[in-house]
Amino acid sequence: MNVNFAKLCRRTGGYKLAWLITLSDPDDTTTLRVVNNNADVVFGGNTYTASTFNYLPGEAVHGMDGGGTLDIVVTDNSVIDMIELYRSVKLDVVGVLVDSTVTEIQGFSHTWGSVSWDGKKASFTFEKDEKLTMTFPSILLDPSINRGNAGSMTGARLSRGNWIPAPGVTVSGPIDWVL
Amino acid sequence: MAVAWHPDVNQKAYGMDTAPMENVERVEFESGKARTFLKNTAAKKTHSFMLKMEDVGDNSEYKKFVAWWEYTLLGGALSFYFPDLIAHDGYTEYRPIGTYSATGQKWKEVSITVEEM
Repeated sequence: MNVNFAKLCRRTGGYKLAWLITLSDPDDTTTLRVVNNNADVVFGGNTYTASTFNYLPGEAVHGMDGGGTLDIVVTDNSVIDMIELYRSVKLDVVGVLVDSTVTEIQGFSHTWGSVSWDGKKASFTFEKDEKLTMTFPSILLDPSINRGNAGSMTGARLSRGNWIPAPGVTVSGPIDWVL
Repeated sequence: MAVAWHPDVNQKAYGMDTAPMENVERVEFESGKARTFLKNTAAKKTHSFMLKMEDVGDNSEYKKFVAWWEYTLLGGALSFYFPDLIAHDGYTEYRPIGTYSATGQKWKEVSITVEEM
């Protein structure tokens, strides 16, 4: 628990929990800063314009951002231009507590995803980094293939050439190991 | 986007009702003391008021208002500037809630409900 969360819990409720979002192209040529509030919010030297949207962060993966969704109105802003002009967009989100001051609670950042839009709103679906769910090494261990087995770790079954029979054991014919 | 009020339509609002807009989000479970916090940082209000307009001839004040509402205000899709209904000083941006209603013959009594922007 960080200090901001503790601060949030002690307060009486005279605050607004807001998302500050920055939507931009990869080169930051076009930048859109908006807040889901009915008044502008200044944070970090930037003004976030009052707008309406719904942002929902995905579940974190190993402490990293786990994707998220953003539904945002497309009227009176540059969202459609950004979607049509650029192959990808960046979304930086800061969750803040707004009362007499603006206090940062948590930040999120997204890059990969897809978007669909109509005349009213654009719906972004940001995916988590696919590397976060990769398994290393990419070998699936089972009773036949494991670190304690004499066989190789390449996924093949034990070949006869790598296997030495126990003393007194006679083996004839091909071996078909099924353990 | 906000548009200007029609210059030929009066701004003498009367019979005004004012109410604050709902701005509290409530967290409450099956039992326990409910907690509340703000939906938005700015407290906004809604106002209902009336305007009296003459309606004689094809180019009457009321008909100008109707044309302004339909073609300039786009039926309420845009907002407009009107003398501040609380401070009575300067102009404030308002947005219609729903449509206007009018009663009367030669003199129309037009009712409008707006919200602060």
